[in-house]
Amino acid sequence: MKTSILGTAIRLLVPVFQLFSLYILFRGHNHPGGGFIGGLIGSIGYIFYAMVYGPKEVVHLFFNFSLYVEDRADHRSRTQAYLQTLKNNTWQRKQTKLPKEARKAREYRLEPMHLIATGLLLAVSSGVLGMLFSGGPYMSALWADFYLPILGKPGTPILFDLGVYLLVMGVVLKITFIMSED
Amino acid sequence: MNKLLLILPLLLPLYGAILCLFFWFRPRAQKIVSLLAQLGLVSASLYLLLHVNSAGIIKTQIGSWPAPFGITLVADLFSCLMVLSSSIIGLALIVYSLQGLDGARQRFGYYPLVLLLQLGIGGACLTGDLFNLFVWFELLLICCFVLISLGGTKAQLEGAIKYVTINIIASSILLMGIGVVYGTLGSLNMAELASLVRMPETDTSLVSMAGMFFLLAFGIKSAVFPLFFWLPASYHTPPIAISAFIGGLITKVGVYALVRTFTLIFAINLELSLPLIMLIAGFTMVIGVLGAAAQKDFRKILSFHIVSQIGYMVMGLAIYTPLALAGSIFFIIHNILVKTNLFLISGVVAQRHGSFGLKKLGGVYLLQPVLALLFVLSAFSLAGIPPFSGFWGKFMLAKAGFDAQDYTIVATSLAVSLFTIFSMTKIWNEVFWKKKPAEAGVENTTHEMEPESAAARTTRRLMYVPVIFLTLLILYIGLYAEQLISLSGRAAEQLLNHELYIHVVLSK
Amino acid sequence: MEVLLCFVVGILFSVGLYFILHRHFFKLILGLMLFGLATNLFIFVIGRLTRGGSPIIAETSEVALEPFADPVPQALLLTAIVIGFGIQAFAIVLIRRVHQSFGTTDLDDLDTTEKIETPEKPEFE
Repeated sequence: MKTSILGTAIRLLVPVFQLFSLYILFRGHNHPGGGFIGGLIGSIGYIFYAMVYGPKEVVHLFFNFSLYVEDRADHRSRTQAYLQTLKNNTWQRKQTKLPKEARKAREYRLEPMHLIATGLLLAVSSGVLGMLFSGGPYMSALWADFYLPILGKPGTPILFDLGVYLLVMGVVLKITFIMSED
Repeated sequence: MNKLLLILPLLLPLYGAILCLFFWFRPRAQKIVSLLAQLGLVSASLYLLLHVNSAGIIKTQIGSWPAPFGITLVADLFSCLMVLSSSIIGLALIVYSLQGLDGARQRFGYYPLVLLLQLGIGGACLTGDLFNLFVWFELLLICCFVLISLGGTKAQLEGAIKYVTINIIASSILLMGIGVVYGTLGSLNMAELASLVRMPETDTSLVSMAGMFFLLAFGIKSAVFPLFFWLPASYHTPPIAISAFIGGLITKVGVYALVRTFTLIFAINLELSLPLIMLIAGFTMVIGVLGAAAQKDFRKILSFHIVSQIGYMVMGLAIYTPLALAGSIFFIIHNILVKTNLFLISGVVAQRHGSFGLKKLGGVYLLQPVLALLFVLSAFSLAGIPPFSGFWGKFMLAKAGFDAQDYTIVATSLAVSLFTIFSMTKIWNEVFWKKKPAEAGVENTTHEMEPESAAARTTRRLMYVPVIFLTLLILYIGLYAEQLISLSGRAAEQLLNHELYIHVVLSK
Repeated sequence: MEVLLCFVVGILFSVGLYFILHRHFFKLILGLMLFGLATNLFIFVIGRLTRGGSPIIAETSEVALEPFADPVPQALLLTAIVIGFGIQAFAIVLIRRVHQSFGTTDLDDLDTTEKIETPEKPEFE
């Protein structure tokens, strides 16, 4: 289903969906919203992208990370080499002008399964943190006594919601990828 | 302290499952993680049992919401015993499946599913809230659905479709029962419900109807008489590591929920429900054991015996005296261990001889005398021959029946025991004792088995480990029965002493 | 309104049950869905209907103003819907697999696991 209108629009819309889903996630503390709906909204962008360009492209563009590693020259210290790697991968990523053979790229791929696992881990651990540090039973909320500029008062429930967000997103992406492979 | 003790049996399998998800592409790491999580779970639930044994019923309120509003986790002796025995079975099963399950299934999430199933069982046993019970049951059932159909052979898919259909209906009925309870009494906390139904000013006319909903739903899930047809059609289809776990445990969790709700909440108007339960118990025993007599497959005989033994557990509930409930609890624990062990033995036999059919097997005694001994011990326990563990459970139930002058049910249960011995003798004769039948076309039967390779022998030795472990446990329960009998006696007293439960849960 | 909903619940139950007893796979799935829907609606009705009063406490008062709808049945409903959604999704995939490997849409063809004779090739390992 390759229509050029949707194809062009979705390139711009993916970050918008992401941002909006994060807004919904953090809004969920006092108003309607939260992790579940946030995760669903966040995955809409990817689903549209997969509908237009195919799931492989989604994985390639959003869930693949390649790390450029250079061999350490003899006159450089280890720290300098690390800094160089960092530089190659961040602000000089585009300008890395090494020939293709000399630069080694390591591919890392973020599987939906890892999103699911991370989400579960965050959600379960938020309860454990509350239990260990507040002295109450499991899932007791633990709140900080200061306010962050946009987010408001941080506490363990936001960790739980973040876990749900990642979990829902992982599950939806997994389902989408499996179904569009058929 | 309570908060940690009660949440640990749920957290350990959950964290284990999460770690397994992280190691999705590395089955070896999953094995190690799930083994460690199971070991931790066994020790945590053992400690929980010891603590509850000395300190009485304990509870914790999730998220520090006070009792009738928040979710309560309660542990009394019965639930601790259930959690402990299920965790022991889980440990044995994971050790078994290290060798006894094919690699493809292990790669597609067997270990996280088993751990999540363990989580569901723990939650269903420890929760103190009706709706929460439903949610834990659903978690447990989803894991069962996937485990039964994992691998997707034809027989498995066919078994799974029957299992899934009937269980979705059962869950809907359970949900309706919960709806009726909430609609009439306005609460879902089991302790508050227990105190509400016993107040004279409460209108309890609809509560008995809700009780029937629960009886129907948990009756389907625990495979009692008119509702058991899905069990022999589905439990034998998956590989033995999975069907041993499901067949040994899941129906008993249904019985647990039945006992819990009928001693705590629906303990009013019992003169209506108890005769019905008694009838169900008698028919379940008889039909199950008759069904087993007709079968010609190792696993199917065992599946029908699950049905038959559910009858004994329900019989204890139907007699409804402390001794009868104690007998029921003892029988549940004994049956979980023995049934799983028999399934595992059938798996070891099939791994060496390549079949579950009684007609094709034979001569196992000559090749594997140790296995034959292990089978005999388990089979005697199942049939209830003294001094093995099944005897004590049946003895307590029969004595309670005599005390309550329910002679019919006692006579039925004793006759059913005879038939159980018949089935076990049939397996013994066909699988272990008779000569290996000649394959069609193969004349020379003197060396019908090609000698095993060294690797295969080590594999088989490893599969013996859980079987020997469980047999020792069964022997221990049988020969030193006093500990478990007194434990289940006190568990039954706690079940009938609802005021203690209500007081513990509703106090600050 | 409640009487009307009661009839709707009853009709949904009977239609669902009728479809579940049908032999066709697709009808089975439809039946399970309708049965689940009927259950959810049943809880909704039995939790008593209150119209036009959301159980949200205004900032000026300590308790919610009467009459307010009971939020608990709605929470139960939401949970039950999500769980039912998951289970139905699984059932659909399962039935698709059954259809693929058996090549039939008739539930009556699935009768091998109940036969007494053991299949020729045991499907273990």
